[in-house]
Amino acid sequence: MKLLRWVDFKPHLIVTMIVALLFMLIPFAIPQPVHAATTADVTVNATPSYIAISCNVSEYDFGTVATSSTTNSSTGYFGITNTSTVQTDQTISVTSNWTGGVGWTHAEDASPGADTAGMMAARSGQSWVTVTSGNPPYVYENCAALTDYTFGLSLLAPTSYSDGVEKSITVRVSAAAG
Amino acid sequence: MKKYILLISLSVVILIISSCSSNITFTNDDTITETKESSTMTQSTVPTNETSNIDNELHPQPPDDITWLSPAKVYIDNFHENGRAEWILTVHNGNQTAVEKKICITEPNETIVNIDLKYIIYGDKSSIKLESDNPNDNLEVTGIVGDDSITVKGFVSDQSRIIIIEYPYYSKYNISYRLPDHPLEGYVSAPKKVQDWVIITDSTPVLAPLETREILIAVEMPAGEVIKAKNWEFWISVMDVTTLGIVTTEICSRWLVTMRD
Repeated sequence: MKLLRWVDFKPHLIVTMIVALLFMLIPFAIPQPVHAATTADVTVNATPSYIAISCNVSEYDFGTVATSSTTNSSTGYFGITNTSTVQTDQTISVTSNWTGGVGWTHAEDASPGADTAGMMAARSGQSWVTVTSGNPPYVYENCAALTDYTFGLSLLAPTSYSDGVEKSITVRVSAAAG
Repeated sequence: MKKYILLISLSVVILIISSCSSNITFTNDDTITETKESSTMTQSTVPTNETSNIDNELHPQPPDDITWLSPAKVYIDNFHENGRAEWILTVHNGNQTAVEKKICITEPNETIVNIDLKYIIYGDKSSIKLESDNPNDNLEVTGIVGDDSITVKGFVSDQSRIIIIEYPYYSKYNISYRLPDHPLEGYVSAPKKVQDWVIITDSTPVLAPLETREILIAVEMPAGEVIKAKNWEFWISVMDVTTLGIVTTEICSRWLVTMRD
């Protein structure tokens, strides 16, 4: 019977350990992409450009409104600063119904009803358009780059109210390249 | 014999590693070449600084204090099932400091007050400015509590005042997929199912004042899916959800996709 000594094992053990170590290093040796890249035959390109708009007014109070009344801000009241470097199409919409107490339904056709209010908007010097939540109208189509403008809002009050609690709604101006 | 087997194994491992590394290098070189040759930016991985310079030359970047996104339009051509396209959307936060006005009435013997603020404070207490209309006050911020509250000392007890607090703040953004309000001529709105194919790596970024963030947007069309329209469009919307008022603004990037014939 031959007894194996440590010196017999040593060279093999060292080589085995090196191989094992190399296998362990494989994940680090191969750069792991955070994400898959664009598929080879698909092309993606973009023209360098910036979209930037902001509104200079954060609050507006229509005051106490009577049933079936129409209350307008001036068309110069809300200012949009447009710093976009390309021509844009800008739309105006509401994001929800009116909230506060018994909320009002936003009328997509601007026809007031019981607890139902309409809203219209007009860019300075332009005609009024009906503000909707879906398929919003342009407040400024083909707005040239770096062109500021103002607009106004019109509230068409409900024909009847359930309560006198203050109501609020959010209007959104959206800009995308034209 | 065992020794030889081990040596061969070692060689194979080294070969595998070296071949993998060379593949990655080739892909990167390929991307750089595309970028240099194109008059617009063409991208299959994260843009380099080189592309950013091209960007600045063609369209001057808006001022730092303006919130913007770039690019305005992304074109995807030759798209097909099992295909993927991606691009980096850059969003810049133009918000810097918030100003809040508060009425503060101190109780008898009360000289230190905790004040809650609307936004998440950016920076340390030295960046917060305080002003009181009560000439007897000598206000000083002693600490920030949590993210949006400060401790102020130096109030005169049992008196009232209006204080103005000015502080830099983080802004929260919402980045989302949406259908176009009005598609460009020649394009139709993306089918509803496309919503599930669009990946936004960070849809709710919180940006420091004047911070610019790059966000990867990808669209992956699963195998077996069909879109009948040749040209279709979706938008990536960017909205600042920190500062809300009666009028909010939304900036959008158009993604214009043309399918392979």
